Amino acid sequence: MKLGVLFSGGKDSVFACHLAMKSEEVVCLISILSKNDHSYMFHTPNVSLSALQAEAAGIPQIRIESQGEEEKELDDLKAGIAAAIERYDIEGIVTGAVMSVYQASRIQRICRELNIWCFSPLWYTNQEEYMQKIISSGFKVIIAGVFSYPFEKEWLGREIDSQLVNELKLLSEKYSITLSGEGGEYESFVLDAPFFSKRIVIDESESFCKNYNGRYIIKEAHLEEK
Amino acid sequence: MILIIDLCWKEDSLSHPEFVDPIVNIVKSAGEDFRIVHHLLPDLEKQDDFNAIILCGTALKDNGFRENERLIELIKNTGVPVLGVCAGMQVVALAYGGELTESLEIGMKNIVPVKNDEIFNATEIFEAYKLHGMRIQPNGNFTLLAESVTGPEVVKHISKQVWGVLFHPEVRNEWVIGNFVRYCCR
Repeated sequence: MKLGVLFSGGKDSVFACHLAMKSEEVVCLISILSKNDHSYMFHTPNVSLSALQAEAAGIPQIRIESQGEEEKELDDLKAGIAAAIERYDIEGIVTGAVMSVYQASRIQRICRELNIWCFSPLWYTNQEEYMQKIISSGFKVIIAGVFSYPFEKEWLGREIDSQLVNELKLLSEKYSITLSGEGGEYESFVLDAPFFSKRIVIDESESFCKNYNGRYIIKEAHLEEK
Repeated sequence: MILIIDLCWKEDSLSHPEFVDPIVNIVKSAGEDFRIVHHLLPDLEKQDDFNAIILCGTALKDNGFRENERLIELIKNTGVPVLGVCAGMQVVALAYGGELTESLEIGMKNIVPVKNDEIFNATEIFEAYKLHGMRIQPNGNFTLLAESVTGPEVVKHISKQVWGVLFHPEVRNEWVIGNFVRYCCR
């Protein structure tokens, strides 16, 4: 089945893409570039760099700009998926939704309207096993944004490795945060994945954080052979 | 041992992690053994060692399971308790009577308990995740346990230990599946 992946560049959409490629044909990536940093629908940190990820993966990308106004951004998403159907003949889309019924149900409705399949292979996955799989499958993922207590500036730009997952586990036992950041506690950015033929190298970055709300902005990056 | 039947469009499909694995995780948490069998596999009929059967849901566009007469016969003739979730509820209706009608619902909806039993024991209105394009209009073989403004949500066969749940209990209402597993393996 030819599929398009809703692709933000964060770990969930990239891992969902990885799973989809194991059994189906991923023919395009669909990225919504939201101007609203607080969108409930779309992951925003460094999404403009998803073009570099698409190049690293060798998969064509459809990029749709959105003002990010609630509900109107769904029209932008629908336009992006409709363009993928038109250009790449996709029969379904893949999402990285983990627990958000807000995201999942809105995407399901759009797929129904466009008469295509919808797949969310990370839906209600065991979060600890998922985080371990990201590491063991050879992904290189960094923390690109923090949006809740007790995350401070030193978390920004850190790689998701076993030590970081252990720290997250301790925090999740103490505070009401999810291990995978599904509640919007943190956002991530993927520098390398098993299906990338090149990896992303960051040349220049900037971090800022205030009141447990911070971002890791990649100002310059390039691709390197693996 | 619970037999978990995968109703998705093919074995090991991309829908499997979305509709089968969350139910598997609940069965695992209840401490029960299980075997997952795809509905089109010959293994489906080797069900003597099982205490119960759970029929999972599948994607909105997936209707192939309805054509599987072998599956419907198996559910009709089994002596063990059955829990049909969403698409699985459709299989229960096809096995025991009950009309399927088009009814698209996506998202969180209020569920109103009507009657409690061993596995469905809610006393207050609760929210549940719905993802279906069809619903069943139960015939006289079923008792209504819960409903929503759009129709029946949970039914039980009047004389057999067969339940159908239209919403997806694996999302935010895991207790329904947990109760079923504990009841069947007690």
